[in-house]
Amino acid sequence: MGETLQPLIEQLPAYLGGHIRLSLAAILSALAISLPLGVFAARNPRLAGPSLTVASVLQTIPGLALLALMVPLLGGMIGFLPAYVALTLYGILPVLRNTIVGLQGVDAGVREAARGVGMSPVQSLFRVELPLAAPAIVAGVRTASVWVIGAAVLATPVGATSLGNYIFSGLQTRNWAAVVFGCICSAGLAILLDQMIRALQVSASSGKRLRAALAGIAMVAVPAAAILGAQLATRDVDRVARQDDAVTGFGGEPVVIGAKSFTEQYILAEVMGVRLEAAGAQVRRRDNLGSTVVFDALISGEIDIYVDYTGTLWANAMQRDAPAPRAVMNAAVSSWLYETHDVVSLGGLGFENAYGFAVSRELAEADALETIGDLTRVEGLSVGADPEFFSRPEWERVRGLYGLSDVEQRSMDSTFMYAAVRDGQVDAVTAYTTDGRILAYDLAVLDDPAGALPPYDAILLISAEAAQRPAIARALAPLIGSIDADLMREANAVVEVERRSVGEAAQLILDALAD
Amino acid sequence: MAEREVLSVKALAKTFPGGVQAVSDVSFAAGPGELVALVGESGCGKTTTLKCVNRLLEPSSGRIEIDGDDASALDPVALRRRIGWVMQGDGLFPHYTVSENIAVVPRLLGWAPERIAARVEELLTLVRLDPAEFAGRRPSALSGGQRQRVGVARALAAGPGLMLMDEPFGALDPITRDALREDVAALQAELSFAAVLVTHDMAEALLLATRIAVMHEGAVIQYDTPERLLGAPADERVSRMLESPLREAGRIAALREGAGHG
Repeated sequence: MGETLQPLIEQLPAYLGGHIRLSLAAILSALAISLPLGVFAARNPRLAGPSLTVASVLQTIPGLALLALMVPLLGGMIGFLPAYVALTLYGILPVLRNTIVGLQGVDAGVREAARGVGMSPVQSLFRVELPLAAPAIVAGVRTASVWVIGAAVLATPVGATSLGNYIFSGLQTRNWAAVVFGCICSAGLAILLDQMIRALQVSASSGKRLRAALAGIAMVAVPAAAILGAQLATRDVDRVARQDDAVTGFGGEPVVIGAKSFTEQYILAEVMGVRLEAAGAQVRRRDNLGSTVVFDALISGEIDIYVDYTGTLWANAMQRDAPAPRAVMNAAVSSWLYETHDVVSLGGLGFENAYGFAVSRELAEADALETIGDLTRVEGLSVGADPEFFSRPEWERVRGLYGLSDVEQRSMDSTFMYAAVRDGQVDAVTAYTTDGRILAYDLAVLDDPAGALPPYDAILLISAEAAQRPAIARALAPLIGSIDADLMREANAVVEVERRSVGEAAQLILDALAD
Repeated sequence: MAEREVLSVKALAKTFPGGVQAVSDVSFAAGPGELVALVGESGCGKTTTLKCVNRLLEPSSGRIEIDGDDASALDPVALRRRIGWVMQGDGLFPHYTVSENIAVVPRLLGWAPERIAARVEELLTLVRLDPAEFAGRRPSALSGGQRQRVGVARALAAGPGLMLMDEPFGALDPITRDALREDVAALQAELSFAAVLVTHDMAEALLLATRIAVMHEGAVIQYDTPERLLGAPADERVSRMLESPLREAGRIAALREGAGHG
């Protein structure tokens, strides 16, 4: 147990600090917007309806979508800012609604009494109406706090550090302890803040000034200490790195490595990190970025390098429908990246991680399945895939070319696909061809004689800015063409099958490179 | 005489947006120590008249003078701090204690804390509530009569020359009502403020007022002392309003006479 928890606890100051900083900033900003707006709207009923409608619509957007949308809306910026803006929007509704309802609920006689004794409108608001609406408003603040702290775990895919880092990477590497740990921390934080606000309100309204002051101080001091601690920790790293940096020529800036949210990406990011650090660079990691988020972040220079796949760029970034032969696609992708976005491809790593239709060995043998087209023989065919796949053009092409007209589509997280097909919950899955579980679960990957599925060569991309720092390319050059599919599959299996750490998997590749 | 009036209302009219005319022609005046009662059925415009005096409502026409100043030329917020106001119901602030409620206007006027504390204690004693027992209570922990007493104390807090009272005794049981009427009368005799009392109870007006303005459908139909009102009602409507208190008084007098003989 101690061995499982040790690495999790080591990451806690950074993840918890990031989570607190992000949610607190968002909650305070949501308050700063919704309180004045609520006061204004309560006094101008014509405004109350529209402002509540807008806030309610924002609320119906799923949290993950709202966060991801902020990245392109903010010009490809990732990290704190898009997460902060999205969470702020998310926190507005409960406070706005309760402020309006609370103020409108103040007895008309009491409001008239305030005017009648000679209070100005502002005095009436602050001395009478707001104090009487306070229980409703505080209830709104508590709701907003719980929502925002809960939704802040979704900040991880847009590149902001949060307790979601435990959850997203835990899900991908099947480290359930990390998932549970992240959930408990985030729930605990939500409950803690909720109770602190409650204590503050109770003691303030019962006139216990001392206790109210203590609760108030605790509310500021606890997060402040957490944030300060996290920042001191990173500042030390920065200082050490900056001293080294003068010698090594990485341009005085840390190298930021991006990674999407699956095991292979973590391993490759780790490999790149180790190599860059060995060359004297200071390295920052941005793990668990969404597939489009990471590309936007590279273009805007928020990250410096990451590994993407030609087929993904071809279909998603370049919006091409028709497939192309490998050589044509690779050339087209590289030149498009450079011409359109100044992004440089340093070259292929030596393997492809394509989609492949995988079935269990028993099914393959029972129905003599060899090609994708043979799947038409399976009665009531069901296919599991990551949510991205069913909206990609190649799925349409596969269905057209192989006549898979009547298929039950089941979207699922890629983590669960392999066990699902092994256990017969679905007949076939769109496996990633480098996944370690293809071997471990004894799955059969069907042939694609019609070439419906495009190639997905892993290529190393570097931002325009980072391309000006040759030390980066120099440190990573040995990776180009050196990782074949078997090596990658083996490294993935270290994490996904043997349940060992990403660091150990990366070491496997680093050792192979050294040979 | 006119120079000495604390409050003078001349030809007041109030028409609400939408065209409802609540008050069409109201004039009356009150000097120090005088109490003018506005009497009439509900909807006759008496509360509207009262709210025009402290500009909770803006008059449509007519002239209101407070201590000789044209009320429409004064800052309404400052004006209201000069006028004591006892609301219908009690209008106490539920989140304030009794002493905080009484201290509202002195605080708004920026009095020193010691002066406010002394004044609150004085007023509680004046309205016959024990400061030690009641000062720290919330309005929800008071009886109706006690709340109304606090309402009167709050209106008196800054020593206003004019008190406006809107049905202050309406919701009280007869014994409490009677006690509080006596107290208000005694306070007025002691402090000699001018007062306007809105009531639908003619008996109450006869008991407390120095002059009575009988209102009907937004206008004053008779403005006189209680004695002259009883002696010479202006018309049928005034007579009818006098009927009930006279009948009660006559009946009680007859009963007492009967008891005396028995």
